[in-house]
Amino acid sequence: MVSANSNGDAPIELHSLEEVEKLVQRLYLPGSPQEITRIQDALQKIQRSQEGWQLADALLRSTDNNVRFFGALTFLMKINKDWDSLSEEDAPLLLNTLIQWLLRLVNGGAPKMVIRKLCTALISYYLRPSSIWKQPIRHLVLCLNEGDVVPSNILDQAPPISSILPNLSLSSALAILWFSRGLAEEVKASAPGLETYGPTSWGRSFDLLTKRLQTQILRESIFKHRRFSGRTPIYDESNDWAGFKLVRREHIMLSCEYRRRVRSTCWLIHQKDWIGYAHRAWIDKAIELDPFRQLTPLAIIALYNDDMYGVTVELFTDVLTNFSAFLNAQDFMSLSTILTNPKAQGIISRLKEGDYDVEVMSFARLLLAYGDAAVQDLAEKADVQQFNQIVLQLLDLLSCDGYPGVEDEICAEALEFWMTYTEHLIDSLFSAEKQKPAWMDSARQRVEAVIEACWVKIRMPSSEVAITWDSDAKASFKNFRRDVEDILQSSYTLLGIDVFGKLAHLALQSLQSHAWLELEATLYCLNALSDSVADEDMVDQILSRLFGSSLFADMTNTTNSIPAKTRQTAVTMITRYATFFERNVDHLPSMLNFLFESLKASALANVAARAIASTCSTCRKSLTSELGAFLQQYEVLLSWDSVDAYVKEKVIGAIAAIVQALPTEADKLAPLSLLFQFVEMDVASSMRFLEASQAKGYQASAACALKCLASMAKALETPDEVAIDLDADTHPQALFWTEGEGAPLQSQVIRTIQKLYGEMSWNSDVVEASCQVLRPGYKENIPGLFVFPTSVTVDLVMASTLETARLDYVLETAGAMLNRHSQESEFNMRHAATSFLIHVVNLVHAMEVNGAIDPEVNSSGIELAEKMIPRYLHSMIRVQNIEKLFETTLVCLKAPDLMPKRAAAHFWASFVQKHELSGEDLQIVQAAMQQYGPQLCQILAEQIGGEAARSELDIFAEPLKKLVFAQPQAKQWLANALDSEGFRSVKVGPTEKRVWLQKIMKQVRHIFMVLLLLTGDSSLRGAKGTNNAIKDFWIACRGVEFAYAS
Amino acid sequence: MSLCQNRLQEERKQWRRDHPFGFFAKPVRTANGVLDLKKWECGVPGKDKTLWEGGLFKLDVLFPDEYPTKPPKCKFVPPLFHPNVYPSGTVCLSILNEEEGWKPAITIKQILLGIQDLLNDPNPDSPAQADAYNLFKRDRQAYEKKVKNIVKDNPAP
Repeated sequence: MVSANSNGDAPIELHSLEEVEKLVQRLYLPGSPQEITRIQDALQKIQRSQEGWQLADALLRSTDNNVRFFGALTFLMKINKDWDSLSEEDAPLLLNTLIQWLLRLVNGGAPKMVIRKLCTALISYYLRPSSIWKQPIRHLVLCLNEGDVVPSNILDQAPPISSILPNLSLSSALAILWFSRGLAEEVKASAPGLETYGPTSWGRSFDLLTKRLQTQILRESIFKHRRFSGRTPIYDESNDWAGFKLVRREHIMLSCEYRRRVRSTCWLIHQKDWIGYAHRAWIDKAIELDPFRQLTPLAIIALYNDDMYGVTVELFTDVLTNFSAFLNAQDFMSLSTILTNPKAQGIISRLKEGDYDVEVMSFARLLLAYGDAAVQDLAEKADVQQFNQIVLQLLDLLSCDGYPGVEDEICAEALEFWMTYTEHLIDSLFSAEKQKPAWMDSARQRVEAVIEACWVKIRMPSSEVAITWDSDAKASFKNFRRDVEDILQSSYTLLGIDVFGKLAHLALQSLQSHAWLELEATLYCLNALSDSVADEDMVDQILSRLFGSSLFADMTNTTNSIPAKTRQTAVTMITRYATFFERNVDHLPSMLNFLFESLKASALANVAARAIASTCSTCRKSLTSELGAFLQQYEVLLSWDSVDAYVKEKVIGAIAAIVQALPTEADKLAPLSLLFQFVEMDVASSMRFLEASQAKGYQASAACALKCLASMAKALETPDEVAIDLDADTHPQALFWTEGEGAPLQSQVIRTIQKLYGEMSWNSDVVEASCQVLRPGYKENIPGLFVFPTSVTVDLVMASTLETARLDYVLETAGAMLNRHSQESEFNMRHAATSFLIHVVNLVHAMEVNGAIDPEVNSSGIELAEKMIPRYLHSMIRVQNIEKLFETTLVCLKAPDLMPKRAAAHFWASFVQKHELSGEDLQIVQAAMQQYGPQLCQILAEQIGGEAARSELDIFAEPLKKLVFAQPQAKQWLANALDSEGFRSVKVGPTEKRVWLQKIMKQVRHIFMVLLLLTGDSSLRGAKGTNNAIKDFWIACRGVEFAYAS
Repeated sequence: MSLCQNRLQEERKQWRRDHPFGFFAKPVRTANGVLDLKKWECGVPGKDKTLWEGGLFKLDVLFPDEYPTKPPKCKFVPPLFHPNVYPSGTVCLSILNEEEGWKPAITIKQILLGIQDLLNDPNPDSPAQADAYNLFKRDRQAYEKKVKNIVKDNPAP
């Protein structure tokens, strides 16, 4: 025997097995730390010595359990530290010895600590990299069953484990469990930070667990000893309750290990970008996950254990949410039992009282995850007690204490479940081919209950409560209300007009009891349904009761302390049900009274003004008799200090819409004159501001006046449904506004525009509003105050300079006039077109002279010119210095600015086409083509040949295609351009260039012919192939590194 | 179910589970009540502390059959005054361009957040409408004023 040495004291000498045994016993007796250390040192030394193997074996024979434990520990230590001292022949012998000891210990009733330690030694043996032990669990099960060591080479011939397991004794089963659990723990310990490893290393650990552990055993053994049927464990074989509990505990511990495995699986897949990858991964990994499925019952059992409740709830929430397919029907049943047991009911009660602590919330989320995963059963099998109970609990989640998103943290999530539920119902309703499913009625009732719960939940807080909310709280609450809108809309498909009727009834009740916040909630719900309701008669009946009640009178009555929000929702309701008022004009006066009253409150003014505008526009015909009252109201409104430009603009437009509905132009004169007087008040105040040198007020009042005019002009547009009298000349009042009684007013309006525009053409609001006064008249076919002669637009455009604000908008307005002015004579239009072009050419010239090119002016000028090509080419080509415009377009094609580039490309795409011209016109156009064609081709070739940015290629494709088709010379021009010095790319040779050109020629002509034959459409929009050919050529010219996958 | 439909179902689930404040996004329901997953109605709120704050802008998101290989088309209804929105209302944004930044992994949430960012941070390199683009470049004050008016006309509820 060897001697041991330690810390200055004399080393302990060990000469016999008895001495070692005694020393081990001393180790477990109380003693000084130094003494313990000395003993440990001595024992360790002897363990590490060559005789350690025999010592372990010898110690296990002891009758003292501490000594036997130490023997097992010695085996463990030797395997871990002195494995290399074993020869190849020794290793199988060692396994033999270890298994024999396991059998002896198990059969001899050795205490758990010894058996577990020996199991650990066996696990270490198995995990040695050079270990040749395969299927350890299967092997151990067979050995324990036989009561002897079974040679490992006959494992494959042995009967399946499932047939052996039922025969295993309780102690043997326990040993297997200890071994398995230990193995799981070891594997985890040997792969720390599993989650941080890539799937490959994870896969290895996974293999260890799934393939080698043979989870079958665990499942079988657990069912051998007790089965769970519902909530009561049935113990069927052994009377040893303590033993049973032990087994159960071990299973749970083991399942915990597996839970961690499963969780890391979830984690992995959850973390992966599920799009494109995880879906596949989940399918691919399904086979690997299979063994875990068998462990689910074990994990479910953990839900009965208080210590593990929290983590297990989390696990199942995770699995149900992300992988509900992982669970089978039995698992769902087991879960439903747990979700409805008394503990669960207790948690729900706490939740309803507003207890949102961690345990409660995680349970609620489990319930919701279950609900989502089992929605079909929950909806369709309401007769199953457990499902019914779960549905009721899910309903409870909608009525917990507190405001949603503020205190109540579960309500919004619960609503999501109910949305899923509702949609499942709708889908079933529409997919049921013959008749509605039998369960539908009871499911519908649930949805009704949901709506009722939501109606309570969306109630606004009192102002005292609201001021305590931060912006997050407000946003969450608002979000919740929006979600309720969603579910209301969905539910309508199921519940139909009934839900609408019920809500309206509730509104009347709240109105009677002056429950204003409750009323707000109801109106909010009714608003949500405005797009859903279809049956006009029923809806009108219901709404008539509501709008015919004291609603508007109460809302108007300022002595009632009604929350602003309630009024606001009432205003919104008016806009949502505007068509109702059109059909039921009796309700208009009280409603409009309320709206005008609301204009006083700054919080409501904007929304009320919009509501007035939309109502008056919709119900214009019914309101003509009230016009006088409106004009009066407007006058009153203007006297308020609080009224702002926005409100004025909306309300004056509203009144103008009513004027539009008057039968004759003569009828319109007086009210429009009055409205114009109101506008003039702003003009006058603008002048006063000017005199007082108050620039801000000066500009704002002027802009306000023009915006009001623009709003009137827009409102006076003929509504779409009015039949258009195409023969405008025969209109009885054709000249009313230009030469008749209305002429002075129209002149006044024009003068006002010209005056303000003339004075403030540097102000963008003024310019924009001036243009907007003109534009609505362009599309009118019948005369009107704002249907001006073309000269008004021409003068306005011609008065613009490079200093004019929104010059682009002015030029765009010119284009709009040319496009749509249908009432004017051809002569006037040609004259206008010529004037515009001259102006554009002058602007271009002025920019050249100034040396400051403005890309915006270029693009809007070119766009205007492009719009003239189809109808006014004849005028265009005769404009003096028009070549300046052509040259500018060519410059713009090459310049970096995108908007002028696009405009120029459109211009050329339009110009190169064949036009219906003859005689001199044709000659001039052909000459222009001869002059500019080669230059255009040069630019196109250069740009497509690599100069352009990739994203600009489509811009150049259009003129190229049109050119190739319409101009026979294009091929030659392009060929010349490709060969010219200007074409800089050296990456393509003459052959590539030729091939490309041929391809383009062929494709364009072919596609064109096909399109023309098939559809009569020659726009070449379908010529995608040409765009690709252009892109390919561009890549070739730039070098292939510019190619990217698309 | 096709990949497109599967993905849209999943998108819908994800959106309902978690979406940013003030946004909404839902597939439209056809006249007979059936969901059309390929057309969504969405709302993008203006970001806090920007010009667009307080506004809610509605857009249709239209998914092609090839989605998610190809990006959806996002279209403001009615067309929005913004430098990167075409006169038709279609949004011009690199992540929505198949040849540029589109990736099948981009979610609806990311798209809508991207559009929200775009509102206050227009990209002057890809103008889509002259109106807003010119004003943005030329007269920032007028541009801002106009945006404020648009917000007023499209208030978040």
